[in-house]
Amino acid sequence: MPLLLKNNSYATDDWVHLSDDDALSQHATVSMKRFGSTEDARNTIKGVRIAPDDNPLDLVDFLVHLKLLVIEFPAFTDGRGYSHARTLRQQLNHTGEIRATGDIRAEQIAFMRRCGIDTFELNRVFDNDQVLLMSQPYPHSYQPSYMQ
Amino acid sequence: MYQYTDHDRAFVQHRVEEFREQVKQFNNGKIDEDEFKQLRLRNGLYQQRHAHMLRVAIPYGVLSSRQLRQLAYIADKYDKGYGHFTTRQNIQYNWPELNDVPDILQDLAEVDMHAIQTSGNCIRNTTTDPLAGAVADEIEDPRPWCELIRQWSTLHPEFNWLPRKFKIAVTGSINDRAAVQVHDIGLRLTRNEHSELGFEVLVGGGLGRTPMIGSIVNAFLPAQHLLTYLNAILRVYNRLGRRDNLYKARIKILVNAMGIDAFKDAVDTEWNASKHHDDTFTTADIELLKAQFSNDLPTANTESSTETTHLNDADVPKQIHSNPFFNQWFKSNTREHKLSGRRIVFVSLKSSDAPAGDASATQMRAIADLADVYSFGEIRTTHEQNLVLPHVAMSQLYHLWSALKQNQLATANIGKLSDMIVCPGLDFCSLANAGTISIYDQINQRFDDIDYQHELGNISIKISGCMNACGHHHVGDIGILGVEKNGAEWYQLTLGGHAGNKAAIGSRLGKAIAKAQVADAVERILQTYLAHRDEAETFHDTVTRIGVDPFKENVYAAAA
Repeated sequence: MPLLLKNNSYATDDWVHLSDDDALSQHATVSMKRFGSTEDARNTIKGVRIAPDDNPLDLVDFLVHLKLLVIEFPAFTDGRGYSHARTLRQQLNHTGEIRATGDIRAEQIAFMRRCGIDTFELNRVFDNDQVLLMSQPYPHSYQPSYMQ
Repeated sequence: MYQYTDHDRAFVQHRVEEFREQVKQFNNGKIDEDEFKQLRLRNGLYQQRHAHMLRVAIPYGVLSSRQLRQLAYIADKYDKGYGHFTTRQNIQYNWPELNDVPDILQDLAEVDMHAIQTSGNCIRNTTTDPLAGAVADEIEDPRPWCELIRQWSTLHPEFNWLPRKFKIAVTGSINDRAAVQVHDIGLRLTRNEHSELGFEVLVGGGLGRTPMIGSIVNAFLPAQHLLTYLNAILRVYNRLGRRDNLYKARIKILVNAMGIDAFKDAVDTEWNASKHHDDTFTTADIELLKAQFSNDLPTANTESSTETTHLNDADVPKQIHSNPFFNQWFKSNTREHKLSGRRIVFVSLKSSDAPAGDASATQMRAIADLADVYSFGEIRTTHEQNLVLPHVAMSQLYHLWSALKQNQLATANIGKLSDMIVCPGLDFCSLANAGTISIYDQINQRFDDIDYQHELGNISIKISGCMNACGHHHVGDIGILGVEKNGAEWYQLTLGGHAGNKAAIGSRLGKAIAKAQVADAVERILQTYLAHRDEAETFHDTVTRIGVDPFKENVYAAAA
């Protein structure tokens, strides 16, 4: 899956996203539910996926060990992940990489960045027109930004 | 009134260009229907029964004459020569073509207007008392606070994809003319025992399928914490509001499910963790905003024209005694101003010649000109679908009335029977079950005697074409709800609703009434009122005193 970076270029994603039954491995993420319920997971895993109905505050004691947080957006109209990102940046002072995954539309990228999301796992590469719009941010905003 | 900065202008301009590009991409098949729907809603563009509908924002109901002229221009150029003022102080155009909308938005941008967030699951227009800054019963002018909320809520990156729409209303007066008790968040400006300014914060009010009166979530929020506290409420709602059922997704459902105490705890927990971070503002910020609104009105009691006849400024105009029509209009369509020598004037958009709340481009231009001459170029929109000229000199009232009359804008019916709130209904709206404009016409035809209307006193009829209650029928003295029964239009009546301080949801009167019978039913209701009222008791007070049953008996008596 194409991974969109800060400068709007693409990279390949080398993280493995494990289901709740897959064997644990190092450069991998698990669901927050699995992370919270298995000590093994907490000792091995360096990446956690946060579902819309999860509470990012549950990660407070573990953030320092985690290399990647992935916020899930199962539907582009489900805006819970924006609050998760802001809570992680603002309340938990997290400075590590936060990635968005799921149904992400081009015009949402700028908003997600301002909530503190760094990278984006997309279903497909955006086409040129969409990238054009995306790379022209608003001249200013009325709210503070949590872009890292 | 608030003056756009270069930043504000650049922002709105960028929005226009962004939408123009999005329309182009949609037409080229690069953006799918689902995505484009969400984008166009956030620019106020609906797909309706016959055409698109564009809802233009009028932030907290304040318009300049220049802006009103541009709205008239847009009505003529792109639409059918009229606009409709809504129950959230905005204006709607019923006939724009999709491919014209970027140009319409550009024309709006020229006068510092837009259609940002007037639809979609995001924070909508913040509304307030249309008499703000002019009226005597004000604790504090709410408009600078509305402007603060407007800026905070505009393209807020966290709150653009909420479970459902979100509506905020603010009142600065001890008498609530902003219906704060039936909004997602209602804010009442108040002072504590130390005279410090703050807000009583209500949450979870609303109309629609499950009407509810808001609950107090904070009895006194110090004013400087307004935005951080709103942030906390929105974050709790964004995270916990239901997303499984469109009809159970408003914040009122969440507050009801959690209970106000648990909801308050959740908000306070969030607020305590975040109150020193985002969205704090300084005293200097709010003082700058306040200054923009306090400059509207000269402090000296000056005249705005070269009227030579000198009257004692505090007197009513002499024509009060010589002209009974002017007298009647003065009584119903004007209100006391905080300055003696001035008067607040309502411009009635409820003449029987056109649908309630509609104004032609010609009328809009006339009102803009009158605003320049008589009201320092300022107009207000009301959630009851009328307009206001807030600062008219007493000695100019007769001239103004004459001019309004020539434009069918002086029907002496503000607050009276024919001052009905009417949603667009089946004629326009794809959500409607029944027509509403025809009911408005039917009632107007039956009760066309203005003297009788004045005899009845203040009474509100509010008409909705479906359960979404855009006509606010739940909070009307007489509420009329259009329903569909066996393919025909029927009407459910409610009684005893109220939108002001003692907000109340109306009670169902009985079985639905056939379309042709609605005016009859209203007539029987009014007969019952007149038969039972104690001297000068208002309709509202009579219903409160005697209950719904006497009305029910009369309305359904001859049904057999």
